[in-house]
Amino acid sequence: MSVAAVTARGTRRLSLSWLRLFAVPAAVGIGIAASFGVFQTLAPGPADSGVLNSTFLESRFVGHLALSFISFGIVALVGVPLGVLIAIGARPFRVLVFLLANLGQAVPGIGILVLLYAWLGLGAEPTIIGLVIFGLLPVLRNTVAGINGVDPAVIESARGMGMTRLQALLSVEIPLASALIFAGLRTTLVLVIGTATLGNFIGGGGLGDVIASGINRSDRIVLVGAVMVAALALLADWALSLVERAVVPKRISA
Amino acid sequence: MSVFRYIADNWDTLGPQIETHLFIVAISIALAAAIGLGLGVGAARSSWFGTVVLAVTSTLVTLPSFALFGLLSIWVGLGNPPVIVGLAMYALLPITRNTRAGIMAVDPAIVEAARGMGMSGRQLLTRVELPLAVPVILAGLRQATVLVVAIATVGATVGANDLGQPILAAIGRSTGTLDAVLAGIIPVAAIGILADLTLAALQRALSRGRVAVAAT
Repeated sequence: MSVAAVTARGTRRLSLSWLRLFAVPAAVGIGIAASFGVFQTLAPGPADSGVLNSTFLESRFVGHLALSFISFGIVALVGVPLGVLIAIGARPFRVLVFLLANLGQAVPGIGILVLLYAWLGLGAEPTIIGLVIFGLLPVLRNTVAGINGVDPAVIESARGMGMTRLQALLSVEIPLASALIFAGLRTTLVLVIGTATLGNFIGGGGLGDVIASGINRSDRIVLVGAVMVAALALLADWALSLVERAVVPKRISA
Repeated sequence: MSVFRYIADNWDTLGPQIETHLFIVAISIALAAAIGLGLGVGAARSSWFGTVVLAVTSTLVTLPSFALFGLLSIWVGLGNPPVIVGLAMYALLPITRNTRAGIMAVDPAIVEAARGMGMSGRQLLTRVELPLAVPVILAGLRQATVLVVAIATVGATVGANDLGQPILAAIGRSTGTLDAVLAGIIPVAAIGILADLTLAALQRALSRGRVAVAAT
């Protein structure tokens, strides 16, 4: 292959990755700008001033961040280690994890939240517990699948090189499984931010409050709430994809 | 269990809600299948188009459902329409992605042979590529259906009279809260699981005797 061809290839890959890097924030920026235009075309409603003020919007935005990131943090901290433990130690639980993960897809998120309301009443706590239960499944499933998917021959050779079981796990199996683990974490983050939008129905606060107070009353309120949540979900997924690029070893993809 | 008594006692309201739920799911999947097949074929033919289509459709599934339905209700009104359009948007990704993957997985030697027999591009697509891609496309349709059956529940928040209604109605009840929630969750899960099993059986029946293709 000629030098020119190699260089051209390198540049192309570079420009593609830069495009990927900025495509999401650029699209979100354009979307927000466009929604300002749409906002002007919508009729104002009598409830607008009570909702569309910085105090209310900020409190619901911060509430949404808290609901989502506390739940996501718990899921990540509990789900990944638990998944690793199940993958290496508890064979019978593996089938259960996959079964529950598949079943979980059939159960609506809002149903889980209202179930927790039936049990614990209104508030942010039942919302967070519901989000954790709902978000745990993709992370568990992908962690177990990732660790189990590592070629036994690779583990064998790591052990043959003198690594202990723990060393092999930490420096061979988990890095090899990291692409799948991250795929699970990204699914969960999006799921949690989206489902947190339904937290308002059980008194959990968050940006769902904004959208819900506009339904049947004011399109302007609905627009503002929906655009805020959508932008949050897209940017959070994008940010986690950046972490993924930095953490997951090259050449490994899900 | 008292849930089943609750379901029986409230059949007059639950029956129509189940019907609406099925109706919304059927229309949105049909819509997404029609559009997704076309997009998938295009994405298999052109790599830049494929990149754009997959980027857009995977962005769509990132959008929270309450936000998407709310946003759509601004233009199409409350009730079923925003839910149908929104669910079709969610279902596009699995259908488009699998149509593209199914076509691209067809053995180039087979395509070559079909061309050698004098088939036109259209004949190649409808008589060779799409039939061979059917099991993978069905796998996508299956994923889309399970996803859409569950998310349709959120449609109740924008006024669709589907199985999200008993769930929302449970909030604020002084008694029988659990029964009311389960009266929504159980039928939704049952519909999802039944649809999944049916499509899985169809997928197996249609892929009998074919070379297995990895479905993602």
